[in-house]
Amino acid sequence: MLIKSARHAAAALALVLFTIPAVQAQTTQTATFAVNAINQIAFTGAPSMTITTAVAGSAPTSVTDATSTWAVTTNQTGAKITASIASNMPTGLTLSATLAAPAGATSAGIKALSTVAVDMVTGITKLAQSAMLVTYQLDATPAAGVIATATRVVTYTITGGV
Amino acid sequence: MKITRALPIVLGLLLSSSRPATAQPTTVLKVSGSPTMTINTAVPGTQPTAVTDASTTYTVSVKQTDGLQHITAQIGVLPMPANTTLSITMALPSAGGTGFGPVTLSLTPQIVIGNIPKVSGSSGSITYTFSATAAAGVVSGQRFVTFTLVAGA
Repeated sequence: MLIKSARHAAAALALVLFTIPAVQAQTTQTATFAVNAINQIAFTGAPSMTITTAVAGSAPTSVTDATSTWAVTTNQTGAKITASIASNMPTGLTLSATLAAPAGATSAGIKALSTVAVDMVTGITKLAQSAMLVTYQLDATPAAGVIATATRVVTYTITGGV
Repeated sequence: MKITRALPIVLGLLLSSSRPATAQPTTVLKVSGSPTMTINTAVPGTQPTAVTDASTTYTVSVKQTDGLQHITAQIGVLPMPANTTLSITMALPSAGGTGFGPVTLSLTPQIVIGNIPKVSGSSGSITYTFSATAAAGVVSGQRFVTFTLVAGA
């Protein structure tokens, strides 16, 4: 009787041992995360342009500067870049800019800059892209005369994403 | 009748075998804290800046009889949102082990620390890193991270 009982006990123990799971302990932690709206742009370079000549009988020859670049990161849809300057250009002078568009967006092409913000690039959606070309152009009419060196700060703004 | 007689013996054996002859550390894995991470900026032209949270800790105890143990981690019930990742690194316990961090969490358990020998009440930091690409858009959520102590191979 004792032997049989011992056999039962051994069988039960074996069953218990074989059913012990490999998991020794378990615990849980809650991680909370978020990504807020991000709209970041940067422009590099300090363009400089001087008009020095003209074709006889024509307006002074325009000059361009293509040494600047810009970069953008946005995680929104349909953002756009606008540009403006703090004070208008002297009479007879026009400062314009062209921004290369990042993938999937649309450049407005060359745009004259003034105190009223103008769209430069539209349809910027969820991307990060850098080293895009900015081309500035300075135009003058003979009526502008000789103008001493002046500067304008061009303000670019990213807006409109949803 | 035989089973009825055998039952007390079996129970007695089970109970006696579960009583430690000497005080041994209990196998334990605990975590404390709830990490929170928010991405809200980027360097223009690059992906949003990842954020980390190193405010939470774990405590582990492994008995001599357990042998080498692994700590695995996984998230549930849903995977992370598209274009986001959540990864963790766990500091090694005082008794040592093999660190596999940073480990990107998924619905499948992955070893974060392997080959943990006998150790009693050793605590370490858990560092979470949350990253996202611009394509992720604006998102928020929570995930349960399950840590499991399992027998090593």
